Amino acid sequence: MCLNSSGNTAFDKTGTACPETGNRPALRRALSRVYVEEGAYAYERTQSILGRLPGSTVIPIKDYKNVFNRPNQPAAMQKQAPALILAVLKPPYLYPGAAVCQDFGERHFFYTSCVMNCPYDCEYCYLQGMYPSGDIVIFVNLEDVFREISEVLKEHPLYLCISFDTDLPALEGLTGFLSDWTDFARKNPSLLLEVRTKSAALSAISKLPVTGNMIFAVTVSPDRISRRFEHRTPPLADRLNLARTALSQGRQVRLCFDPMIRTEDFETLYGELFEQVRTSLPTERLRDVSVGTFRISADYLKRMRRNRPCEVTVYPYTNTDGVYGYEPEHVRQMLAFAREKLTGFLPKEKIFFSEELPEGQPL
Amino acid sequence: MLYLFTAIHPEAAPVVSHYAMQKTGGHFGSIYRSDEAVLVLTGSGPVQTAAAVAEALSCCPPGENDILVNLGICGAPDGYTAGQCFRIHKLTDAGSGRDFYPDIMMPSAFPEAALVTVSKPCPAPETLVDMEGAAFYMTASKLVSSDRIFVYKIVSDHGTDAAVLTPQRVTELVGNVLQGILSEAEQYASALPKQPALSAEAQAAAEKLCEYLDASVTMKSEIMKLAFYLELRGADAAETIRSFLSEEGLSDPSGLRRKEGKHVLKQFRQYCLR
Repeated sequence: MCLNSSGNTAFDKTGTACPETGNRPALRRALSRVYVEEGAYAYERTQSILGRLPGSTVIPIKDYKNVFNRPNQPAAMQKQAPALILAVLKPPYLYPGAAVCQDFGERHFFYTSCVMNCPYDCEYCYLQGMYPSGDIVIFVNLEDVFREISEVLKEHPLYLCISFDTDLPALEGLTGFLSDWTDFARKNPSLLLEVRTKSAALSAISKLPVTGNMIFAVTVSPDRISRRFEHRTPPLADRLNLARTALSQGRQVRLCFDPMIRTEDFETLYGELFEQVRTSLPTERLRDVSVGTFRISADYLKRMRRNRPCEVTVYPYTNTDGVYGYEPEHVRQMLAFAREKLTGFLPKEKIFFSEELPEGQPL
Repeated sequence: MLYLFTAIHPEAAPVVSHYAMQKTGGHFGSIYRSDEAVLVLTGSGPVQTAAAVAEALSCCPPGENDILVNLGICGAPDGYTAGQCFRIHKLTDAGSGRDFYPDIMMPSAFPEAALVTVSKPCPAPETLVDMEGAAFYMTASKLVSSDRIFVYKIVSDHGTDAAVLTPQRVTELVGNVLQGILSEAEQYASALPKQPALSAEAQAAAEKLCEYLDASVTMKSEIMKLAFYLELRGADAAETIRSFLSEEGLSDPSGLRRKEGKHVLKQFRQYCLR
């Protein structure tokens, strides 16, 4: 099963993830097991998704938490070949944006999780600290979420991130959720959606009608960082191609240089990245960019270190008020470097940082 | 290492024979061992099973890549054939109504099925039924991850014909599928990645640094973590520590007091993050 319709495969054509397993025996195919909550069977989306996964073993369950929240799960193994869980989302459907996330100056900043977990496998991803499982949960009752949003919109406008805890474009071939969100956004102009992605799901996005209140936030990293830490993600050139095409179609595009990962040759890698962005995109058409260094809550990092000790997770971070990150001096250095490069081709008002950086901060 | 759990001796007999096991003890159940595997004869019923599994896993704690296998006979509705073996993907404890889901990470050669665990023999089963599976899983999953718990059930009867089941027939039913079950478990064990650990050389170098810095337990923990980080980053941790000691001119193991050692540790941290 190809997860999306663009050739941007998080899994190969047989549905198998592309793990670095060497000569070890092969794991199950990704999405070859589907757990279906009793209440989810009645939804058309459930039937539609099951129809796209022929040959999968379907196991009825009472509540998705009985599977997703099992104790003692092999989360890192599950990431290589996740099972799928189809469930009905229960309220609350909307959550206030977290303090470590950027609000881009938007007053009513919320997020929603209609899918939990991502088909990509980034070593630094906070989802590994947040969830006990590497399996993917899809909530099939999008209409309930839409209903609540409609109520909220009667009170005030809403800036809503819908792809924080997953990568919706990468899963569009399976879910069709982006299409539903686009229709909903077009009917509700006071709703501003952000769709964060590392995918190169060009054909999936190109099929969607253009709507001004839907931002495609494309996360970009230097290729070497991507190959080292962002397993199964498309290369930088493909992500930039997605951004360029979306811009040419008149869509709102945000570039996210977040998280920036510190390496020995950080300035070379990110210097090349900024240059590649400058030369390959009509940057004047970008809505904005976000810049942030790796940071994560202490609780999440603890779980990640236990489940997946690797270069990113065991880095000797500094704990500031329960959030781990690079040493403050390194953070300032990284952000100042990004500011210097980005202000060369973007106005300051379009650059949002994960933390305030004093004007004229020296390198 | 494989840990195998069966309820009754006729189920255990082919395993004991296969691994040429010796009985080594057990209060709640009988524990047999060989160099390659542990077998626990739990006795019938959920309570006996839970007690025997808990005892065995406490006496012989499984390693990080060890696999736990419950195999045995089960009742089934009409339509199932005696001798059919199933890999169980869902277990229901009939008493509490709780469901459990072993994580089958590798395709199985056996068809999959759900199993209901009851506390007394079931005369007319509507699904696969046994008296141990859910109790085994519930206890084992406290200590072992859900992917390393395998449950296999072999259809032996349809409730009404259970009385004519002989011990020899049970041994034959288990023996017929044992090799396939063991192969799957061993294959999965070989697929499990090993958790990275600090190399012996880096460990020795880090301990030397601890000695030079008169390190407290907390400082030692930080030094070990830094050494581990260096190794995961692909650096030569032992060489990095030696270079640091040399650059700092530290050649006398007893030359620093702890307060100075703390200061040097900060410098070592910066050295690692360069």
